This record gives sequence, structure tokens and C-alpha cells, in this order.
Amino acid sequence: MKTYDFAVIGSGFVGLSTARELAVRGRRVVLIDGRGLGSGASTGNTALLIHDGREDAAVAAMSLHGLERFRHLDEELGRPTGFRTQGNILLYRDDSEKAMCETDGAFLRESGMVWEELSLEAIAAREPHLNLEGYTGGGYREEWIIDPMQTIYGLFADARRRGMDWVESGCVTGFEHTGTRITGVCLSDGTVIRAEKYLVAAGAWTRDIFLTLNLALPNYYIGGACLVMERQAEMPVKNVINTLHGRRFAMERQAAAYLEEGEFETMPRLDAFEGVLSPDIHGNLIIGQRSHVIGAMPDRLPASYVRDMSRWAIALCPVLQNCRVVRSWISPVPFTHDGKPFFGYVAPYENLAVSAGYGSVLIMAPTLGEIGAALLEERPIGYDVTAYDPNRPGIREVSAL
Amino acid sequence: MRDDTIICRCEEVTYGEIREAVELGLVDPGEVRKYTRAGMGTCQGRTCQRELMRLIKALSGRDGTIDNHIHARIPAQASTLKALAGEEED
Repeated sequence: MKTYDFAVIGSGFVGLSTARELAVRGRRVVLIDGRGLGSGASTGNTALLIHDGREDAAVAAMSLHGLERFRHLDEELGRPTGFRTQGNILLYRDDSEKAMCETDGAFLRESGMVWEELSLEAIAAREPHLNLEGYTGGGYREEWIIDPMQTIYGLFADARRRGMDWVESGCVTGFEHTGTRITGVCLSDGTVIRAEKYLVAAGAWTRDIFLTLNLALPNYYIGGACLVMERQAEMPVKNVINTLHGRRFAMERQAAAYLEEGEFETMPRLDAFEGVLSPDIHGNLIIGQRSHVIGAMPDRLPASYVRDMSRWAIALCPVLQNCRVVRSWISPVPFTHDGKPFFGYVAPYENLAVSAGYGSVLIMAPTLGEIGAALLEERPIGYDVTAYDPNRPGIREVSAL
Repeated sequence: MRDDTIICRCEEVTYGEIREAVELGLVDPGEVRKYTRAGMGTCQGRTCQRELMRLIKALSGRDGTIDNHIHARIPAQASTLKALAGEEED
């Protein structure tokens, strides 16, 4: 039986980028995903590359580097990724939101990004179909968008050409180990894959996978419910239209407080609504999003969420009322007690690492591939990621149950 | 079946495109769907899904459960936003 240098669990942008990086470096690597290539949030999202590192210098640096890699990824892979710029208008409702908006704007400008403050008149001139009643102003930022599945496939095909193995015959059901060392990862079809080192980059399934080792990694989620509109002949908005996510941030703080007190499992249901109209690369408009705090990848959304999102979208953009919704989804945004992801080896196992729990992750994916490979090969990471240590103090839950 | 035979009418995805996707190694219906856009249109695969599954199975030569990944979701059929918004309650 073949023993690999590295087994990477999860074929989303993080796991796939890491496995590909290892393949580029000539290592024997196997990528495992029983739910299909790029399943989960990697191919169920707005596919926006969002520079969002205001509160974390490492995230800011990793995002900028990732963006540069994305600009040329089509040449690197020899396949189109759909990469292009996408404008985003942020709407605020009062002075406190305006202040938050200005702080975001100052950060973007310092990072060399496009940011303009907009009066209601200026917004109406750019987006004539919006009804701006209830809003007091906004800002314009430049973001980027890709075709997620085409990009995932491009990364996959390139990694396969370079010798990466691919196992999709089953989902992870557990590990074989000695107590300090993982000796195999067990799949639901009975297969056991063996490698020198293992990386779990399984997004919203990461917590479930660590639970099979009696490790409760506090990697929770905020489920973002969205509606997908039928392809429009003419998109009623050119930009992504967002409300400032003040209510959503307040909900996150509340949930973090419950988590800190060890009451996460018993807290009341928390949810918040902030609107977004997001034109995707295929001509479908995505309407979101009702958010609530959850434990793992959800699948379906409650009917009341559909009603709330529909009402909000009609109020902001009345011409949408006769457009049809064809599908809905819930995409998981990671949520941890301190807002930091998990990157590093997980005690007590010397050869088991994790790379998960990143917010606004897409833009960082190429960088996360590079640092994930460096972690597994025990090379310098190049970014200060000490705050992402999965064994860091303050995470009481990371212990044998 | 010819390469230009349309399998998904909503997104006009042909048999040839589905065959190419399977030949690239995409054998999970969710992967084929997101890659080719088959079943991503107005009817969300309600017309073509069974045929798509059959083709993937026939082309990939794989037995077993390849049918777990396309889930039924709200709305059951394409519905206007106005209809989904319902009546305002006072």
C-alpha cells in the first residue's frame, strides 16, 4: 500500500491550493474529499475576492499576495478563471454606520485599494433601479470576482498533471493513531489512506472531523442564507449592493460572549439580517443574507428567511419583484471566539495539522496554499500566524471531551 | 446520442459538454452540474436531472451512489420574489 508524504483532507480552495502547491514542489500528495471536488462553500458563494484585513495584519498581507496570484492564475493554470473586477456599493443608514464605513474606507485606501465616498444622488446615478429610502449615503469599493468551479477545476487539473492523487470514494470517518501520531485516515467506504503528515482543510466539516479524535475544535459557523435569481437578460444592478453589516457584527459579538462563557451549546438562536444584492459571473443575481450562528454546514434554509430576504430586496430594488427565484442556499462563514482561524499542528498529534476557519477566505487561497505547504514541509511560513495556533490559550474546548 | 444533443434545455448544455466534463474526471453530479451549468437554470434540473445522472453513470462506468449531492431546496419551482415575499403583516 502506497504511503504518501502528505494527505490533505478537503478539496475546497484551501485544501486544493495546499495540495497543488505540494504537487508543484514534487511531493507525493493525496487529496481526499468524499463530497466531491470543491463541495461546500468553495463553489457555493458569491465568488467575490474581498480585501478584509482591517483587524488582522497577517490577513491583509496574505490577501494582497493572494490577489496578485489570482490576477495571473489563468496563465499559471492554462485555463480561464473568470477573474475580473467587480464594483461594490456599501449603503449606510445612520451616522454610526457612516463612521464604520469611513473606517473601512480609510483602511482600503491605505492598502492601495479603490474607495470613494458616495452621496445618495451619486449612488442613484450609478444604480437607477435602487430605492434608497432609509439610507443616508454610501461608499464604493473595488473587489474582484471569479468563476469558482472553473477555477477549482483548473487548480485540480494542474495538480493532477503534477502527480497529485485524488480520492473521493468516501468521507472521513476517523483516524488510526498511536495517541501522538496519526497513522491513517479512515474513509466511509473502508479505505485507509496513509501518509507521513495530514492536513485537515475541510471548511465547515472541520469540526466534525476533529470530533472523531475527541478534539472539540471551536470552529463554528455563521450560516448566510441566500436566494439565487433566474438568469437576467439585463442585470438590474451593476455593482454588488451591500448594507453595512452592523447588525451582523453585533450578533457575532453576542455569540462570541456565549462561547467565551462556555454556553455556546445552550445559547438562544441568534440571527441577523443584512442585505446584499450580488450579480454573479453567470448572470444570476444572488440575494442575501439572513445569518445565524450554527455548528456545522447546514443545507436548507427556513421559509421565514426566504420571506425576509424577498421583502428586503423588493424594497431596495422594486423592479426585482417580478423576477423569479430558482434556488436557495446557506453558505457557512467561519465563526470562532476570537475571530481568528486555525492554522498549525494540533496537539497531541505531531503530524496532524489544520488550516480552516478563515473569513473572506477566497482572496487568500493562493497564499494559504503556499503557507500550508510550508507548514507541512516545516519551512518558514513568512507571515505572522502565531495568533492562529489551534492550541492557543483561551480555547478551552480544545481538549479531550 | 450526438455531441450537440441538448441535455439541459434551460442552460443549453449539450451531451458533448457533459461527456467532456466526465472525461476530465468529474464524476460527481454536483461537480458536473457546477462545471457545465447543466441543471443550474430556471427548472434547476427538474427536467434533466435523471438523464444527467444516467449519463454520468454510463460515461464514467462507475456503479454505486453518485446521487447524494443534488438536494431539493426552496423554492420547489421558480417563483417571483413578490410571491415569496407574501403579504405584509401589520
